[in-house]
Amino acid sequence: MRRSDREVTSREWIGVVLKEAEWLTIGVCGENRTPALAPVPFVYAADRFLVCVIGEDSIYDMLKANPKVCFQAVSRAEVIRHDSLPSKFSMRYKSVTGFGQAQILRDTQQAEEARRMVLERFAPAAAKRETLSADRTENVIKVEIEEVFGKSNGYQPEK
Amino acid sequence: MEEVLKEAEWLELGLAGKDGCPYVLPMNYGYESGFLYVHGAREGKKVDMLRENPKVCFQVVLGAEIQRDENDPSEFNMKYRSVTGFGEAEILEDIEEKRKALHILMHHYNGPTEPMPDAMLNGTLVVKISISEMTGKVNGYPKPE
Repeated sequence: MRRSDREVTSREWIGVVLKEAEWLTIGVCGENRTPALAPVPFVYAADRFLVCVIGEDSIYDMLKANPKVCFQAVSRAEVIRHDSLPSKFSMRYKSVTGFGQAQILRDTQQAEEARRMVLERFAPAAAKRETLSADRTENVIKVEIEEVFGKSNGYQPEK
Repeated sequence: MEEVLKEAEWLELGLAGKDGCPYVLPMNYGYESGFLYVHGAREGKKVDMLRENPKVCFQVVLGAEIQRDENDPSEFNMKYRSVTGFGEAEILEDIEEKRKALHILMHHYNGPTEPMPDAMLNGTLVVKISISEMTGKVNGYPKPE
């Protein structure tokens, strides 16, 4: 990272940001190397993977062709203003950016487990049911995190 | 869509690398008449990727939160207003074009537009994104008329 002063490498810090954020932006690469983005609800688990609910079929289809993803969660972002100097404008934020491979889980035992993880986070009463139907959360993917880093600006320095 | 673009404070920029690997980064921006303007450092991964492949995707999200449905615990929903679009990035080299672009960016934040010394402009990467397509989405908020 060019701005190493803003980089945070602590996995604990990264885990806290990923657990605070309820959604992240997922980036994929489609045909003709056209990028695409979507906001998605997600769960961070076992300090090494994400389960994401993909609401848009176009993103899901791109992932079938190319499973490489970039994800980014931003928390506590706000503009730092300055009355007289444009160069003093900046953003205060905490963010986590990572890369990984998406695995399509549809119709597998893992899909059931992933659906349950999502429900445990967002609809815990439903997660207690013994069996889950393939409902609206069927477009779940698992992303094994291969590389991840944090960035912080305007907050207390952390490493 | 213009209302959302004018209200938001940052956008997510999506790039596609040589190896088919996407890259997502948050950026401050300005918007005017079908063009987005972003800025950053003259060196780094972002500018290397943009020079190699100028195709970009952008996304602005406002008021995003997960909504639980109290009447049906199996239901949850993501409430948000968003604009997602595609375009092509051009790295500006002309100093007056850069100045104009950064004025648009500073207007977006109701901030001061001067002083902008030439040395600062020369040391800053300024990118103009020509929007080819964009789509607005509203979920959980009143739809605009």
